[in-house]
Amino acid sequence: MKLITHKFGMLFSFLFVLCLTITSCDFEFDLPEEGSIADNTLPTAAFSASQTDAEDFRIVTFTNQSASATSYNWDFGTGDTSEEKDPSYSFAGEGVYTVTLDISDGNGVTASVTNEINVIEPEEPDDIVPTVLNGDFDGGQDDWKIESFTDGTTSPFNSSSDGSPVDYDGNDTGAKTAGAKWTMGTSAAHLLSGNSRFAYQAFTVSPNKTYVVEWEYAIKNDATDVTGGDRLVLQILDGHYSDGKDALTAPVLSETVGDDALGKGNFTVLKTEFETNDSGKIAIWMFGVTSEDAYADNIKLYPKG
Amino acid sequence: MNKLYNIAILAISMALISCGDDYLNPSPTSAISEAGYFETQSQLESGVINMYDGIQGVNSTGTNNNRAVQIEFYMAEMLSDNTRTKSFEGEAAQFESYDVKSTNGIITDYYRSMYDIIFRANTVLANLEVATTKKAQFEGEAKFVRAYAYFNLVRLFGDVPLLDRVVDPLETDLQFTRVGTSQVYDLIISDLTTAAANLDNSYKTRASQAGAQAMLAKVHLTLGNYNEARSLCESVVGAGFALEPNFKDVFYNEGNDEVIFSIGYLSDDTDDSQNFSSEWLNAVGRTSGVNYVTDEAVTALDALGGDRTAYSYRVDAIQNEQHQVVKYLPNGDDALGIDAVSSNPVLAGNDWIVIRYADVLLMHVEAIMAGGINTVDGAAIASFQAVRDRAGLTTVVSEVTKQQLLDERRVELAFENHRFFDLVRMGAAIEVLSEYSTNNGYNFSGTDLILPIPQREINLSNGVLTQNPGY
Repeated sequence: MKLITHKFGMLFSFLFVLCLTITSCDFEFDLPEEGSIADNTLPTAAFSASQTDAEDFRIVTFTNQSASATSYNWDFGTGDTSEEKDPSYSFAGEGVYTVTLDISDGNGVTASVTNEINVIEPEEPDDIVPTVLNGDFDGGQDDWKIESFTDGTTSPFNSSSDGSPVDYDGNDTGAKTAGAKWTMGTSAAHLLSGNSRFAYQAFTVSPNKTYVVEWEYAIKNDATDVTGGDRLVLQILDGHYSDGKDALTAPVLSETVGDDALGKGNFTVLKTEFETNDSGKIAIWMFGVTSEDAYADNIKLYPKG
Repeated sequence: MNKLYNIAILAISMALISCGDDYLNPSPTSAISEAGYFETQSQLESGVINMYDGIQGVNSTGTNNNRAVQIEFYMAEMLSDNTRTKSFEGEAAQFESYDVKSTNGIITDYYRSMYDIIFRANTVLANLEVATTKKAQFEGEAKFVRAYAYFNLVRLFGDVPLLDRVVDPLETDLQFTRVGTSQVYDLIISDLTTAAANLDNSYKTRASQAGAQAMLAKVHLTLGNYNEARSLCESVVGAGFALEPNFKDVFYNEGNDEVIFSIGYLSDDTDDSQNFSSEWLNAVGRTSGVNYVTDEAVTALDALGGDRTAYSYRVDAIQNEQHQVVKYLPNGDDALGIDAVSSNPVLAGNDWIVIRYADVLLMHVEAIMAGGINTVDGAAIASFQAVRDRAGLTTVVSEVTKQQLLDERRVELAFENHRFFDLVRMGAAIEVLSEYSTNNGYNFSGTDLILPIPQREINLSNGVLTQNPGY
C-alpha cells in the first residue's frame, strides 16, 4: 500500500511537472521589439564638393550633408572608395566625375545620392602689363635714372630731339620726336668710364612668363667703328638695383643689340622675347658702345600673347 | 409712464452703441498699441525709427533679450580665424571650436532678433498708406532694413522661413516653412533695388541710397553676379564718400566721410547704448573676455596691416599673452590717444559701422576680379592702391591676386564682422578654416559653414522646421 501510494505520489509529481511545463509554454516572453517605437528619422543622403586647394585644383573636399546616418561609403567614380565622413580626394585631372555616397544608420536602413562633380582647372592668371614711364623720352631723362652710381653718373643719356618719327602709339607722323642719345664719350663696355651713361627703369611683372621688350634705335653712320662694332645694348636685369655699380654686374635675363648703322633718323624696331624670373622683379638697363652718335626711342615692355 | 418710455429708449440706444467692436476691444488709453496707432506720417516715422532700434538691439547680458547686432561678432568673427574667447570656455567657445549646438543661446537670440527686425520693417510697409510726403522714403528704408536682416539670416542659416508681410500668430505654416536661398535672395535683391531707387544720401545711421547700393553689390558678389556688383560699386564711388586720412578716425570720429551706414549708439544711456565694446575687454563686461584676437590674426596684421595694426589690436594689459580688439574701445587708450567714449564702459556709445567706403573699394576689386585668381585691371588696382595708401603701404601694386585681396580685406576690415562672410563668399572658407582648425585642435567640417537652426524654433514649430545637416 505504501508502495502504491509512493507510485501515485510519483505520478502526481510527474503530472504536476508536466502541467507546469505546459503552462509555462503558454507564456510569451517580451521580444526586444515590444514597446519600441518606429524609426521615423530615416537617413537622408546629401553632399557638396569644392575644390579647396589653391595649389592643386585636382583636390576636392567633400562636405557630408547627410542626416541620421552612421556609416558612409563613397565611390568617387574612379574605382577608388572611402569610408570617411568628409573625405578629400585627388582626381586625375579636369573632368566631370560621378560620385556616389551610400549611407546607412544603425538599423541598416540605407540611402544613396549621386552627384556629378565638375573638376575645373582654374584659368591662368592674367599677366601684369607694366607701364614704361617716359618710354618715348618726351620727358627727357625723367624716370630713367638709377638711384645712385658709385664711381659713375646717374645721368642716363643725352636728351635728344632726333628720336624716331613714329609716336609711342605707333603712329608714323614723319616728324622726328624726342629720343635718347649715346656718344663715344658716354659709351660703356670696354669704353667704361666715370662718364658712361646707363638708362635704368625697374618693373614688376608676372613671374616665369614670356614677355616682349620692344624698342627702336638708329646709328648715325658707319664711318668709324669701335671694337665689336658701334651698337646700342638693351639688357633685362634679374632684380632691382639702387646702385649702378651693382647693376653693372647683375645677372642678365636677356640682351638685345642694335648694330645696323642705317643713318640718323632711320630707326629699326627690335623685339626680343624673354622669360621672367621667379620674383617678377626685373629692370631695363640700356647703354651705348659707339663711336658715332646712336639713338633710341619708344621703349615698350609687355606680356607675349 | 412717459418717463419710463424715455428710459427704455435710452437703454435700447445704449445697448445698440455697446454692440460696437470698441466695447469688446477697447483701445488702451494709458499706453500705445499697434492697432490704430499708425494714423499720421510722424507716427509712421516712429515706426521707421523702431526698425533701427531693432538692429541696435537691447543692451543686456541675457539671451532672452533681442541683442541683434551687439552679438553678431560671435558668428561673423569668432566663427572665423580672427577671434576667439579669452578663456576657451562656455557657450561662446562653441563658435571658435566649430562645435555650435542648436541649443546655443547666442544663435537663438540672433535668429529671433533678425525676425524681430523683419517684423518691424513689415509693420512699416503695412502702414505706408498713412505717409504723405515721405511714402517712398519710408518704403525704401523698410525694404533696406528687411533685406539687411534676410541677408544675415540666409548667409548664416541657409534656407529660412520667408515672411514678406506681417503674419498672424496662427499662420504657422509661413513661420516655419523654410524656403530655398534663391527665393530669399530674390526678395533681398528686389528690396534693395527699391531702396536704392527711393532713397538719397541724407543719413548715415538710417538707410541711404549708397548703403542700399553697397549692400546690393555684396549680395551680387555673393551670388557671382560680378558685372552688377561692379557697376553698383562704381555708383557708390561717385557719391562723394572718402577714406579718412587717419585710420583711427574711422572709428573715433563718428559720422565721418568714410561711413556709409552705421548703427548709432548713445553713451551712458541704458536704452540706446551697447555693451559689445565692454565684452571685448578683460572681464569688464559680463564675460571674462570674448572676441579676443587669435595668433593667426595678429600675424596677419603685423605683416600686412601697415598703419592700421596699432589701431586694430593691442596687448591685454592684464594678461600680456592675450590680444584685444582696439576698434570700438569704450574706455579709451591713453597710449594710442583714444579718449573714453562713455563713463560707464558697459553703456558704450561707439557706433557700429555696417558699411564703409574702404569695404566698397575692395568690393570693386573683387567684382573686377570676377572669381578669377588675379586681376591686372587698372581700375581694380586703383581701388586697391587707395586702401593701401591710406594704411601707409604706398608701394605701387601692379596686380592683385585673390589671396592678396582676401588678406587686404582681413586687415582693413578686421573685427568688423566681415571675415567669416568674406571667406565663404570668396570660396576660401573650407581651405582656410580646415587648416586653422587643425592647427588649434578644433573641430571644423564643411557643414559648420551654416549654423544650426535654433532648437527653440524647431520646438515651437512642433518639428516642422528642419535642421541643417551636421547638427
